[in-house]
Amino acid sequence: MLKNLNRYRLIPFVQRSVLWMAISSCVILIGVGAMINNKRTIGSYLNLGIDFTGGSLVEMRLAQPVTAQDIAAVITPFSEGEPLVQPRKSDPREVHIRMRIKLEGAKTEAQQSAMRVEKLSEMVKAIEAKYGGPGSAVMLQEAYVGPVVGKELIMNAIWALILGSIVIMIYIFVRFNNFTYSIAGIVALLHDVLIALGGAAILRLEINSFFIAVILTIIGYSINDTIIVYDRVRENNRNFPQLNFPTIVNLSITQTLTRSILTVSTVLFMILALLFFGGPPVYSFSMALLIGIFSGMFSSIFIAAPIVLYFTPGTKRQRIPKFIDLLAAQEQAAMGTYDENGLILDDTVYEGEKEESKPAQALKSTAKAIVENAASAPKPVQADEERKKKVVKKARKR
Amino acid sequence: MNQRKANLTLIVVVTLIALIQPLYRIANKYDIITLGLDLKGGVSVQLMAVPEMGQQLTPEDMTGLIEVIRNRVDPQGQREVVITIVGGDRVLVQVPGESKSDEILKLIGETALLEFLDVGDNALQDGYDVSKDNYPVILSGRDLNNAFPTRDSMGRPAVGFAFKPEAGDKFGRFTQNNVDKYMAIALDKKVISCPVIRSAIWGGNGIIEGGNFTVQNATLLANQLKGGALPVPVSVLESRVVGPSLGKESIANSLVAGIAGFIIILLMMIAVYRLPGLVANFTLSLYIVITLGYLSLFNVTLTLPGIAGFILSIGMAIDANIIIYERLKEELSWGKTLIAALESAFARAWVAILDGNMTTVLAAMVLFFFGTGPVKGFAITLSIGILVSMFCAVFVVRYLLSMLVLRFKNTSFYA
Repeated sequence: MLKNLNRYRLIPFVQRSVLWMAISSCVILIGVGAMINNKRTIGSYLNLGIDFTGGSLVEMRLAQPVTAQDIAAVITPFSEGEPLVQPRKSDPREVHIRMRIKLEGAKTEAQQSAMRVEKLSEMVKAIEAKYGGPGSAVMLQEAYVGPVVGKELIMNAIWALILGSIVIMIYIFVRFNNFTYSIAGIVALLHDVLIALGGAAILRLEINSFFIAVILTIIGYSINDTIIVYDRVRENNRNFPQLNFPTIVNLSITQTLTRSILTVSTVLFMILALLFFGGPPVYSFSMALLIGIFSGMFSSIFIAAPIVLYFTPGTKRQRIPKFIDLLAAQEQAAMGTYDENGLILDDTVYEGEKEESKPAQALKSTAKAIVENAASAPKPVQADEERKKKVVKKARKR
Repeated sequence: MNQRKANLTLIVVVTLIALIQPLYRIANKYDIITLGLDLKGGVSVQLMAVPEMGQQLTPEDMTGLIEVIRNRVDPQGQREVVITIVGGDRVLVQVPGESKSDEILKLIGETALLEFLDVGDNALQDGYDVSKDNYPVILSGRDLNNAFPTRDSMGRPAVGFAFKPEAGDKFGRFTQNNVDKYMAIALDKKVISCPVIRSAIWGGNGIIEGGNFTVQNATLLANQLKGGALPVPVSVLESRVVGPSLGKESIANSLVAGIAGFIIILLMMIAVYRLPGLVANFTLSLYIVITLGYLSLFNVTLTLPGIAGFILSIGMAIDANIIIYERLKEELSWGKTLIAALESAFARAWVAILDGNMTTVLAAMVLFFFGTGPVKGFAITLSIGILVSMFCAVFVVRYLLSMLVLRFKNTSFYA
């Protein structure tokens, strides 16, 4: 009843790497375009909340549905510059206001603070008077953030991103002892962060202090799949020394694909649940996370591994077979029976096995023993050396 | 067999420890997990001490600041006000259950600097700004022993006060020497009344009248005076108010989101993995119980981002199962026996699980370091969640699967 997973059909991830990079670049460019457009229309690249810009925020539920224009008309006299008024799509009685309260004649900190409080309550009264009379509004949320906090928050976000990337880079280096892997991992991460930021720009998600959490969660979680692919590359490299590096990378991605998709989809389900049921306060948070985690899955498959390949010399022109019989490859590796011509495992070579089931069965049973002993069996040193020779030869040919 | 028994014991002990605190809290009718202000509703204000030019901020100033703020906001000590020093020069004041920030801000933010000034022969108008003139200060709000709302001889609201003994003596001597001259009482450098000194005032008691007092602001001023003056001026960095309804809605919404996501994952695991899927689902349920238990045990304050982090971690916790099962499938497809496949699946998957979780924990640590307030809550919740999920993957899943393997020997159940 066992499904025959031995014969892997290799999905050509690596060969099309230019295509994947082009897709990513397009998405990132669209995001950058959206940022520039935002700068023109709303004054900043991203829809920054008061955590970053400073100012006041009021969220309330009124007795009747409201429109942005009506509220804006009431509050503009209290506001310095244009206030931002957003009625909730899900409940038009709820309104979200961001503004800077006009403070005329207040000199000292204490006076400003007192005046801000006073003006705000006047403003709320004015809104209440228009919609259902005094005391009809339910205050959901109210906040004031001073100018110092926003600058600190931006610096903190940048530092967190830098430090987070460095920590991950060091971790990959320690685990794989190869700087190329670190670089490729970080490129993939920055790609995810850029796509998440681009998505936030396109959808005009409100960026608040939770956003640092979003970015670091994307960094911490997206690198998982990348590491899983790397780990498999290393394992396959050890087990199948006769395969060339592009084949190994492709094989590794193919082998870990189901798992990557499943693990990411469980997290995506939770994020989708938050998005649909979590309510307005977590909307931006979960939307940005959704984009970032999805991008993380894409980048660990399509970006991180091809970059490793790109930076590994002498691997560009190597051919990749369509199918690989892992048991046969394993056997070849263990016994060191392969020759230069047999390196690339052609589909046709193993076509005959299907018809003659008994020899195949026999092969399987010997192979089983080999696989079980593979970890303990002495690695064919010869094989490694031959492979090195081969790489050198190829390099010379060029 | 011994190994297995030891595992079971460990799992039971860890689970029991997780249950202690929630059961204790339920018995005492507390919230099972301490809720943050963004869920419970309340006011939180962050202040920064800004010492006057040429002055150094001392740790004593900060402790003094906290004391004064506590006196002002919570004179009777009945509210659960939390006042903490943040980063050396900041104070975070959290008042749960309060839905009006203006009152709290007025109590804290305004300096309420009461001064008794020697203005000699000048009769100053009410509201006159004395900040530019250098009138000698006789006494200030610091010298007060008590302040209370009262009424003057005409029945209008006023603030009564009592000086500390030595200040009372000083006040007596001053009034004795300055009969028929003026004395200004200024609040925040603005004159609220400027009476003529008719005779020496001994005993250290008096009332402040005038200044258009209403009952409300007389009470407010009395509270501010009684609390004492702030040792250093403060500026409001940020203030946040979350109404009680928003917090309740957030809890309800996240509960729905969490349950919905949980059910989808349960169904998916059964659909994809059948028998081991059941193991995964049981482990995930245990994960939720243990994590909530430890959040309660470590008294982590649950914020809205914290809840989001927890919901997210449910999706991440199941990952370990998927990694193990996918590896198991592969190992079986290579023709290994069930038990051998299980052993090597665990051995190989363990590395991947460790990698995956370590990177997320590292990122959460960076976040904890740089994040503020609720974001820190997210980092803590996520980290505890991940550690518990690793425990579940290594001990619980392994234990259950090895039991399962003994009972159901047909490999078709597993792949």
